This record gives sequence, structure tokens and C-alpha cells, in this order.
Amino acid sequence: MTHRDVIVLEDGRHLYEDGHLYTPMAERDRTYRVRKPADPRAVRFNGEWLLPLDLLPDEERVMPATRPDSDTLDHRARCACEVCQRPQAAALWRRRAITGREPRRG
Amino acid sequence: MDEPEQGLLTEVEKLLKKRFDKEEASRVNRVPSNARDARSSARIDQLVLPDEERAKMPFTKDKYLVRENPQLVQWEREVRKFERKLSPDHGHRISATMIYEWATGIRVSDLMADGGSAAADLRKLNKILRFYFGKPYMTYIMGRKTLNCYRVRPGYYIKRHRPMTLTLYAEWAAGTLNP
Repeated sequence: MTHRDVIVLEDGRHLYEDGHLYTPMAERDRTYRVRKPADPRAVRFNGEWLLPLDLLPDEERVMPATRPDSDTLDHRARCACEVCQRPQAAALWRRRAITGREPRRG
Repeated sequence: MDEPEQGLLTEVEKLLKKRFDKEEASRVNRVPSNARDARSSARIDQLVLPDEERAKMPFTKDKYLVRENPQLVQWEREVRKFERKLSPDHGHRISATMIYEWATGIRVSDLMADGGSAAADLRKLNKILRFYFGKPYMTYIMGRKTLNCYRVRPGYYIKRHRPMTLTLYAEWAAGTLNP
């Protein structure tokens, strides 16, 4: 490993600054394969080569529904919020009216 | 030889001997009195800031000397970004799968059907979520049974909570982490 410039010649050999020539071993002659990815952003951590995560740009992301159905039980009757408009909310209210017990909340 | 010993000293020497205090001398006079003062560097004096103008000390504790998994750090950034989008007016239930699908656009069920696996990323996400919200529970969202959901209580502001990874902690402590 050197931090100095290494010139890769046309025949594949590496020419070091001090004039030393290095011929890399051919892939077929290697006992162990090269695990380092060709991507220069690869980082080695705990013996593994990690690449940056391939994520969507912020403007293309879609937020999932994160409010549980049981939230409706904390709201007023005929509340116009998104949770109370769900059909599952009506089912929860109905179950509470029939059984007289508070449905289990997640 | 017949003269008493004190008689050999001059008046000045007698006076200085009287002034001698052993405790003070051992505290102050550890170098000969005719030694020159140590040379100070005028350049360094100009270079360094006065003590009262210096910024906070850098992070030097042993516990900060940790090399962290870069993917864990990147997932924590995404988790904090996701949590910032949740309204603090209501409670929420969030899961690792939600954040994975939101950030990558890949549905975990499709990935598994095609023989792939998101287990490594979901494991990291669950580790981060458990740090912030504790134990996960099962819940129903839109009538669908959703496993391993973490409870985000109403009024939860992510910017008030310190990050799990020390890489982000340094940014958070400096006030440059967004969110």
C-alpha cells in the first residue's frame, strides 16, 4: 500500500514512483477472489465491504399510514379526522357498543 | 580559629541569612538565582487565542473512540428524517418495514418473493427504533394487522432526542444535525 502515485501501464502492470514494476496476479490464478467492490465509495467495516445505501430522493418518497385504528376511540363521535373516517373505526365503535368493553388498543 | 564562626560573615550576609525561610525557599528557589528566565516563543503567543475566547473542548472521552457501521449511521439519518415528518399532534405507530419501504421504494414482500432479503437493513432499523421508543407491539392500521410497531407518543419531537450513533451525536451536540 502506497500513498504515492501509481501508473497503470497498457499491459496492466503497475509502475511505482521509485521505478518498481508490479504485475498483478490474473483472476484465474488467484486462490482467493477480490472482495473489494469496484465502486470507490465502498468502505470496509468489520471485514465486510459496505456500499452507501441506494435510497430514493426525498421528493419521491410516500409516507405510509402511521395512525392506528384505535385512535378513533379517543375522539368525539362523528369526528371528521382521517382515522375516524376509516371503515375500521366504525367497526371499533360498534364493537364497543355491543360488548360494552373497551377494545384492545395496539 | 579563636574567633566565633558568626564573626566571619559580613553584615549583609548575616542579614540575608536571617531572612532565609526554608519552606519558601524550597517552594520558589529551585533554580539558581542567577539563571536566566526560560525563553518564551513570541510566535506562539501571537498564534494562540486568549483562554476566554476559546471554543468548547473537542470530544476526547474514551467512549467516543468508536468506529461505527456507516450503514447504521445512514439508516439513523433516515429514521430521524421519517420521524420529523410525523405530526406531533397525534400518536403514531411506526415499524422498520415502513421506514425501509418509504426510503427505498422497495416493498419487502416483493423483495422476498424475488428471493432477496432486507433482513440486514431491517435489523439495523429495529435496533435504532428500539433505542428511541422501547419495545415494539402489534397493532392494527387501516384494518391490517401490523407487527413490531413502535409507539410514538403525541408531542414527540425528534430534534429533542439525542441520536444513538456517536457520529450523529457529534453533529447533534454541535447543533448541525438536521433533524
